[in-house]
Amino acid sequence: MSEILLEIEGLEKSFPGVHALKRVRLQVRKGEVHALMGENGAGKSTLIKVLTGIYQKNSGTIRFDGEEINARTPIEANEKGISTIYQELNLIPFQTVYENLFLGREPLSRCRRIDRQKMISETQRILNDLGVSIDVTRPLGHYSTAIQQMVAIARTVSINAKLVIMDEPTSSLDAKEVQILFRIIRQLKKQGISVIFISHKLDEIFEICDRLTILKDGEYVGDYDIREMNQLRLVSLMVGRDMAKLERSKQEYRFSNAKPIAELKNIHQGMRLHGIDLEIRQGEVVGLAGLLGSGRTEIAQILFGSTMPDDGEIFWWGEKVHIHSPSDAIRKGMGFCTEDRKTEGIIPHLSVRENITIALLPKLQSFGFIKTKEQNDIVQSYIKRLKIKTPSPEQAICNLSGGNQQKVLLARWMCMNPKLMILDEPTRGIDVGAKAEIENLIRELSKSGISVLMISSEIAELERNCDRIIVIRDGKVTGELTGVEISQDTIMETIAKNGREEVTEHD
Amino acid sequence: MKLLKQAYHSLYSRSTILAFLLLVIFASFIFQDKNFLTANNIFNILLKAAKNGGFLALGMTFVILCAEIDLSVGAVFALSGVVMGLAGAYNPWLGIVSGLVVGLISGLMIGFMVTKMRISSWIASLAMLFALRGVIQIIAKKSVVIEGDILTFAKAKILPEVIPGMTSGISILIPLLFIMTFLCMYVSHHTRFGMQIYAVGGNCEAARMMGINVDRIKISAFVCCGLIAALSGILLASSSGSATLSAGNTYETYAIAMCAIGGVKLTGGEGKFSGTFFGILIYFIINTIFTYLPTSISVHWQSIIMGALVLISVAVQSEIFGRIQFHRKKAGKTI
Repeated sequence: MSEILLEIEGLEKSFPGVHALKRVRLQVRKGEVHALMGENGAGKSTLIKVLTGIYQKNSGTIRFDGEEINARTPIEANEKGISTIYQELNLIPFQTVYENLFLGREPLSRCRRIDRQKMISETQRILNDLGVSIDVTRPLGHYSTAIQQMVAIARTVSINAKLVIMDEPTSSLDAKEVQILFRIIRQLKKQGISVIFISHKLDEIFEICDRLTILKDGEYVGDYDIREMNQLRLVSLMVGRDMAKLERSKQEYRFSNAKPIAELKNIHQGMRLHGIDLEIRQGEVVGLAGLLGSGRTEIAQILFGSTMPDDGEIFWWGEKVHIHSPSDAIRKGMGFCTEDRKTEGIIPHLSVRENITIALLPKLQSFGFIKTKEQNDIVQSYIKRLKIKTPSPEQAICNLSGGNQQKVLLARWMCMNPKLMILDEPTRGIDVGAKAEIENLIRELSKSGISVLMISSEIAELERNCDRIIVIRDGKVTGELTGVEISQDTIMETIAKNGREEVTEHD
Repeated sequence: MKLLKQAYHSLYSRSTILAFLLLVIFASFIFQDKNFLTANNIFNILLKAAKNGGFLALGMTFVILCAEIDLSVGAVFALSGVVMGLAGAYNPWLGIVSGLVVGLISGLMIGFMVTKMRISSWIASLAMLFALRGVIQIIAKKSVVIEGDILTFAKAKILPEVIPGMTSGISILIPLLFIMTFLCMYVSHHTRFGMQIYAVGGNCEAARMMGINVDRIKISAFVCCGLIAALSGILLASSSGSATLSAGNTYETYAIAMCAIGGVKLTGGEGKFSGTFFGILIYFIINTIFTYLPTSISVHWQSIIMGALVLISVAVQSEIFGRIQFHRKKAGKTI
C-alpha cells in the first residue's frame, strides 16, 4: 500500500436548516485516482468546498501530506498543494495560453518587468510533458473546451499540486477528448499526483479510477477498490434501490400510422448541417444519437427557431411553416429544455413559482395583472406531479439541486400544453434517482400524445426511452433504428459503421 | 516568419489601425485643396487631442479594461486645474502636487466604493462627478487665473524652426501625450499590474481564484485613471493660463467614445492602449474634418454624425472579431 496523502475524519458541516455532512471520512493515497460518488445532494460538492477552503467545517480533521490543515480560502488550499478544476473553467479566455498558466505568479526579470519569453518556454515545456502541442501565444478562447481544460490542468501541475480535484471534467467533452483527458490523468498518476474525480458517467469511473468513496445524504457509505465493484452494485450503493427501473421499457414500434407532427426536409445550416431529413410523429419519443458536434443540438435549434436554416423546409402538422424565433415555436406548441440549464434555462434568483409560470404568463393575466390564484394552483399541481423537492414554491430556484431544477424546467413547458417537447441532454449532471423520475415523465408525456425529441450523449438513456433513434454524423442522418432494433450495441455500431464508410469514401 | 507572426499578434487593434489609415487617406484626398496633410494641420489635431480629453481616454482605458467605468474624469479634469490655480498662488509646487492629489483621492474613493462597498462603478463615479462639480463651484466663484513660470510650464514649446511651417515650435503637450501613451503601453504589457488588469476584466472570479488581489488591482486602475485625468487638467490650465469652472464638461463621454473606437471592449479584458491612441486620433481627425465642412452643418449635426460613427466603428470591429474567433474555434476543435 502506498502512503496516504489526504485523510479526512469525522467531518461535520451544517448550513442553517441543513445538515450537509455527517461524520464524513475520505482517504486518498498518493498517486491514485479516487472517485467521489453520490447522488446530487449527497454532499460531494460541499465536501470539496470544505476541502478547498470555500466553506469552513464545523468539526472534524483534515490531514494533508502529514499535517493537519484548515484552509480558509481557495488560495490557501492552493498553496498547500490542493488544486481544483471546476466545471466552469476558471480561466481568462481573452488572455493567451501562457498568461493563463502564470497569472498570479508571473516571473519577473530585471526592473520588475514580466518575463514573457520565460513564460512562453515554460508553458511549452509543461504542455509538451502532458502531450499537448498548441501555439501558446494565442488567446485561450480560440481553443476548444478540452484544450482549455488541459491548460487548467497544466496550471495545477506547474504550481506543484499534490492533489487535483476534478469536478465533472468530462461533462462538456466528446469521447475523443475524454480519452485525451484520461491520458493526462494517467500522466499525473505517474508523477505521483493524486486525483479526486467526480463524474456521473459510470463507464468513466470504471475506466480511470483506482478506488472510490460513496456518499449518500451527507453520510459516508464506504470506500471500495474499483476491482471489487461493478456498475449495478455501485448504483445500488449510491441510490440504495433496485436498478430494474432503469431498463428499456419500449418494445414494438407502434407509431407507423401516427400522424407526423413535425418534419424537416433537406435542412442545411452553416458548417453544421448538410441536408437533414427528419420526421417526428405524434406521441413518439425520437432520439438523436451521435457524437458531440455532430449537429444534434443544431437540429433542435432550427426546429425551435433559435437558428435559421440556410436552406430546407419545415412542416408542422403537414403544413409548410417558417419558424423565425422561439416565440413562433412556442405559439405552435413546442417546448425546449436546453442543454445548458444554468445559462439558457433557469432564472436563478426567481422563485420556483415564477420559474414555472414565466412562459405561461401571457395566458395567466387579465388586464396586465397576474391571476394569482390560478398561478398558485398550477404551480402546486406541478410540484406534486413532478415530485419537485422544494421547501416552498417561493424558494429561489438556484437553491435547488440540479435534478429538481430540471423538473421545474419541464414543468414550465408542460403547463403550456405542448405538442412537442425537445429535450437536450435532459439528465446531464443529474443523479440516478432523479434521472429515473425524469425518464418516467418522458414516458408519461408520450402516453398522453405529446411527441418528444430527445438528445443525449448517453446511449443507454436513448436505448431505454426512445421509440425511434436517428443517428447523426457530421451533419447528416446516417441511420435510423426503430422498435426492437434498438439496443446500445446497434446504436454504437450505426455510429461507428458510418464512420468507416466515410473514411473509405475519402480514400 | 516568427517575427511576422508576433507582429500580427501584437496588432490586436489592427482593425482600428486600418480604419485610421482609411480615414487619413480619405481626408487627404477630399481636402487636398485645404492642405489637410500639412505639418501645421497635423500638429493642430494632436494639440487638440492633448488638450481636450486625449489623456482622459488613456486613463479611462485602465478602468474599462477592468470591466468598470469612471464617469468622474471630466470633473476631476476641471477641479485639478482650479485647485492648482488656488494652491499655486501660495506655492507653485504645492499647486501642482495638490492638483494631482485631487485625482488620487477621487480614484481612491471610487475604487473603495466599488471594491469594498460593492457599489456599481457607474453609480460611484456618477456620485463623484456631481460631488466634484459642486466642490468646484464652492471653492472658486469664477475662473482662476494661473500665473508664474512654474505653473505655466505647459506653455513651453519645443523644436522651434525645425519643422517647416512651425516657426514657433511644437507645444510640449504633444510629446507629453506620446510619452503618456508609451508609458501606458509599457505598464500594460510589461508589468504584473498590467497583465493582472486584463485578468480581472476578463474573468473576475477566475482571477480571484488564481490568487490575484482583485480589489487592489481595481483600486489601482481607478487611481491611474484619476491621476491621469488630474494631470491632464493641470496641463490644460497651465497651458491656457486660466482654469475655467466648466472645463471638461461631458468629456467623460468623449473619453469612453475614444476607447470604444479604439477597440477597448466595455465588457472588460479586451483592448490595448495602442488601440485607444488610434481611437483618440480618429476622434479628433473626424472632429477636424467637420471644421472643413460647410457651415450649414451645424454643431448639432456634428454631434449626431459623431454618434453614428462611434456606433459604426464598434459594430464593424465586433463583426470582424466575431468572425475571426469563430473560425479559430473550429480549427482548435480538431486538436
